Amino acid sequence: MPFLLVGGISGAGVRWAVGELLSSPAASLLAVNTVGSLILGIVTVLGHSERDDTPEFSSPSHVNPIRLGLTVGFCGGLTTFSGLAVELVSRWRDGTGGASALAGASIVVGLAAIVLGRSLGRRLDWVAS
Amino acid sequence: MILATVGFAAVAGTGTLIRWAAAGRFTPPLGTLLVNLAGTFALGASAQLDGLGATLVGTAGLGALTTFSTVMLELVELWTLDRRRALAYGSLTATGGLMAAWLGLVVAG
Repeated sequence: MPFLLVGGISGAGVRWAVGELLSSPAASLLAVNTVGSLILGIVTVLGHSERDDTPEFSSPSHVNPIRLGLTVGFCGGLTTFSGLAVELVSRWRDGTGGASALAGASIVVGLAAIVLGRSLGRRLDWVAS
Repeated sequence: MILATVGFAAVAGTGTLIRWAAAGRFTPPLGTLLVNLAGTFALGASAQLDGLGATLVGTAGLGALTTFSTVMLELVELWTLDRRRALAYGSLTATGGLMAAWLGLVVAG
């Protein structure tokens, strides 16, 4: 529980700081969501190599506290779905444009970050063993 | 400043705990879908907030309640198990999220 809280609060804190540093909401959304997905991909496969094929999400209560703090805590707190969805609809409503590009980029880059993260994590695991 | 920081931590921590509780309470990926749709509606509905209120409610609370990285992970993991479920989850998240944001923004006026 403490790890989960520390992770979630620091993830949200980093997301706030990135939003303050980058002037464009689209850029900061893409940045936090991509980095968070990459880290999540790496951490979920660490120590899970061959013996365990159980998807991470199907056993959230069985993960160790530090892993839980990093995944559900930090990555969950760092990335945001509500911010992205409201930004997309606001752009569409205001006629600002760029909504489809931001939506497409978020999904493609986000999925790629998970796939890349998992492959990086497996390599790390292999190096460590 | 100190009060704002403590408030930020308290609200972000609460959002994280609710998301974690929902993930354990419902069959995955239903918990993620629920917190994401509810949080998105609430963020749209609080669009009139600015300054510290927007930071506490939007950035800390609803930002921590909802998650993008878990959706991506669940989609990739579901895809290898059952592609139809992955597609259904992806389309529900996308269309539901946009509708929730739109409804929230309409409520906010």
